[in-house]
Amino acid sequence: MTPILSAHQLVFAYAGESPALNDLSLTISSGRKLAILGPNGAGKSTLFLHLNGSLRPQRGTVLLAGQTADYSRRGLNHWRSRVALVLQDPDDQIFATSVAEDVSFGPLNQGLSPATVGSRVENALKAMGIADLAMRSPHLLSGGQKKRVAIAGAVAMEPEVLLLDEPTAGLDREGADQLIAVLQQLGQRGMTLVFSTHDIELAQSLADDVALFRDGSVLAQGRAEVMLSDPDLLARAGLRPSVLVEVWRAAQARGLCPTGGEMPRNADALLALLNPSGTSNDGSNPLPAAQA
Amino acid sequence: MAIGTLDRAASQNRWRHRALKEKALIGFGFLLLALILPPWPGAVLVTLAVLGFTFLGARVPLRLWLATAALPLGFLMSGALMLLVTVGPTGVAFAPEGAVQAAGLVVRAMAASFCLMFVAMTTPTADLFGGLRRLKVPLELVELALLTYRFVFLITDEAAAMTAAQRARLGHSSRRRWLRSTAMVIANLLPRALARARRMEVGLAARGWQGEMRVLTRQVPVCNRMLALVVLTLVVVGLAGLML
Repeated sequence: MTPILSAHQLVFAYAGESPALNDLSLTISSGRKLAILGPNGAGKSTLFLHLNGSLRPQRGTVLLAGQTADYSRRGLNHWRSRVALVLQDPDDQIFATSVAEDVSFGPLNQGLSPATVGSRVENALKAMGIADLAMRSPHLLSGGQKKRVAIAGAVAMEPEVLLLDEPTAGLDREGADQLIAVLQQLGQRGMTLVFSTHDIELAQSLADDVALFRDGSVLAQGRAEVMLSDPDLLARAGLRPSVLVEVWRAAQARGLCPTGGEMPRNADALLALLNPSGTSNDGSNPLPAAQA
Repeated sequence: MAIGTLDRAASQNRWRHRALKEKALIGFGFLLLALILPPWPGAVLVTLAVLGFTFLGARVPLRLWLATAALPLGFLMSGALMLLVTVGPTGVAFAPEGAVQAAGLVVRAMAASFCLMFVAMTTPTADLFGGLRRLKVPLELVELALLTYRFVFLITDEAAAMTAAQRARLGHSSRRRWLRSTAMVIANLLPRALARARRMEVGLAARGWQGEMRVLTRQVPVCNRMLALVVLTLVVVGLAGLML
């Protein structure tokens, strides 16, 4: 199947600096959740600006549904209707004086009728769980709420691909968990999600696929289970496996849980593997601590 | 900060969901009366009526109202003091008509300020900007005002964060250092604001911005009974101001 969006051998350098993107290739498959995983300052944001046409590569090409990207005014409008971008700092894209007004901006720019825009806004706010904030001023919101407003502004455009630059940056644990839950729901509705992060746990809990990013290019791209449990591969990207994966590996080596099978996505999944029968601690359980 | 206080009041008062037209009629109707009626008893009656709408109707929190009123009232009082005295050949002396003149001015200006404060403290900014658009104010001006308004908060936040960071490193521990540190904050704000503006341009372009900031504004239906009540009050105050 033709990927919805792909990049081929992109090269880009900001004036007077070494390349931020260096022969970067990436494939984004429709309906999947892709994590761009790598250290900060590696050029992930620059990549995202290329994926919606905000920046133009100095070499290489971006393909939208198999077609060479069109950087004309009309082409960009079409592109940005299909591929929405959410910046890392929500204050960089919220400008209106109320949440509902701000969310209406994108769909109005798509030329939709006010009635359609109204229902798009309502649905987007509901999907992000912030319907009660519709009439609030943006500057009276918390960081997590602002983040959701920014995402709602993109979701209201009903794009095929949603690009999220460091979606959980600056959020506390609870805010991040809530955000992950709504992103899961968007994924279930068939939206293609691409998010950048340096947080391997986030990639693990959300991504179907992972692209390892280092020094302006993608080292490897593949299924999350494979990429995130390969210590050598991760080391090349300057990362190390999550505690979860290390515990899972160690448990497998000691015969405490079945070898092979799917990588556990979160602590609960790992606990279930370590205690498959789900019985209470009767002394025969090999890992009584896991019951605590 | 003053603008933050206005914003909080506008989003908290009981009439925040009322139509802009009703509030504009109160604010500007009574403003007109305050300007054309004799200060006594006209402006006094206007003050009473507008304060009635502010506190009994919209239930604006008194604390926020006082914080907002302090500035214009301060200006007013210091200005009025000047009217009490006159500079003559013998030096400074009490002006013979000064007290009456000053009292008239104070009462009238107070009434006028309270009228504007009523509009500012009961109307959410979104409604104000929506109203400006409907009044066909040139779009460039409305958008400029909108962005200025938004940036005021962003930049005040940044300045506050920078100041706190300087304080944490003892940057404000003496008058000299304070001056130096404050100068650095000011010097840093411009490039930061410009960088933010550039990022916002990318953010808006990503959402299909083509030079016009259109948003879906809500329009609350006007309540005719409310309008009738306001008109009635205006007429009563107007007549009373002329006849008493």
